[in-house]
Amino acid sequence: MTQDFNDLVFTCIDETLAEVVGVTIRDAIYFKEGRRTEDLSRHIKGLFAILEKTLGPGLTRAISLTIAKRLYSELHISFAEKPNSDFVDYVEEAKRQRT
Amino acid sequence: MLDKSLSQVVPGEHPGRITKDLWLAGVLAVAFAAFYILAQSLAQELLVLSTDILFIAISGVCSLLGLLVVRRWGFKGKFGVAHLGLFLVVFLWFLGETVWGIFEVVLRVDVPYPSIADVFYLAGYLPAFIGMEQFLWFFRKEFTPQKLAVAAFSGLAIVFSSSVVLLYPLMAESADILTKLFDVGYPLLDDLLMVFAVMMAMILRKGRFANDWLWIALGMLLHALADIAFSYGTLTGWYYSGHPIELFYVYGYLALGLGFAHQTRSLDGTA
Repeated sequence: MTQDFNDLVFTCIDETLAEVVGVTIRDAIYFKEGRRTEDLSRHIKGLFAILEKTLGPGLTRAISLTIAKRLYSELHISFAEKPNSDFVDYVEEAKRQRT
Repeated sequence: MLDKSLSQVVPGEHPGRITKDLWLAGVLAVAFAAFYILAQSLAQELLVLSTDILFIAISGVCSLLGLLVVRRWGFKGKFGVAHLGLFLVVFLWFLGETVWGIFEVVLRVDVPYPSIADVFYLAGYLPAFIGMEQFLWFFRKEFTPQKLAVAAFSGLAIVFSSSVVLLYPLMAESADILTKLFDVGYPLLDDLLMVFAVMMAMILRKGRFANDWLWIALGMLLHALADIAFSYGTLTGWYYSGHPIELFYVYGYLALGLGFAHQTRSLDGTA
């Protein structure tokens, strides 16, 4: 079940990044990030650190919200934006609501 | 594969809004052309005044839209630096247009070229180059020989056009060396900016920002064509302030403005 959830998060990240910044940039960012780890939150933190360096905090936040909205939509749970939450918080919240 | 497409979750720009923008750009393009045609019948002083005001206004609006992009996405990160560079180029061109207007309308200098206005026009290129170069260098490994060839070909077309148009008058006319340097320099600098913008569009291909960069590339292309025509006109002596050839500049600002406006709305629905 956890594996399914992690796969869904990875798919949301993959597809959203491809549709927002294009496949070329997405793949280049993945390449710079290195091998995907099994630890989801560590993977997300590493990925968003590179995104911030590349796209800046403004666009990175908008992308993280976009991915979060997509994840919640796929899980059929309602999304509410919280001022001090980052993407990891949204993922944890989604996992909690799902179980 | 996800159940819902991105557009269903975060709509970004509404398709109706894009159509509305294109219509607006089309209407404005026709209106500016009509304005230039009608203005030709005005007295020279009025023609200069009205076209100078138009240039200051359109470059001012363009700067404002560039600023909104920086405000929306910030100026940090490689992409942010590219946005900041683009805002600075249009803002410095706006200052250049204002200084040009002051020279013509207040100081009564006929076609102030070269002048202090050129300092602002030229200064704009530097931040734009630095901004886009930072982003492109970061992703340099993604440029295949085919992509580089497409970008280089688009640039060479302008270099070839400017060589064909400007080579003979540059050799035949007796302008000073600084003027001749500017005559060659402006189209080449615009050309380089256009190539960079094409490369940005290529690397962001199929993403939500790709079309915005194509508009920006079109804006730079129109500026390059305008500069070639301006250089040819001033060298051969047929250019006067308010000449319809200036429409290339106006349309260039229009395309840049459209690119900026779309960039602010690429992820509408997010904070």
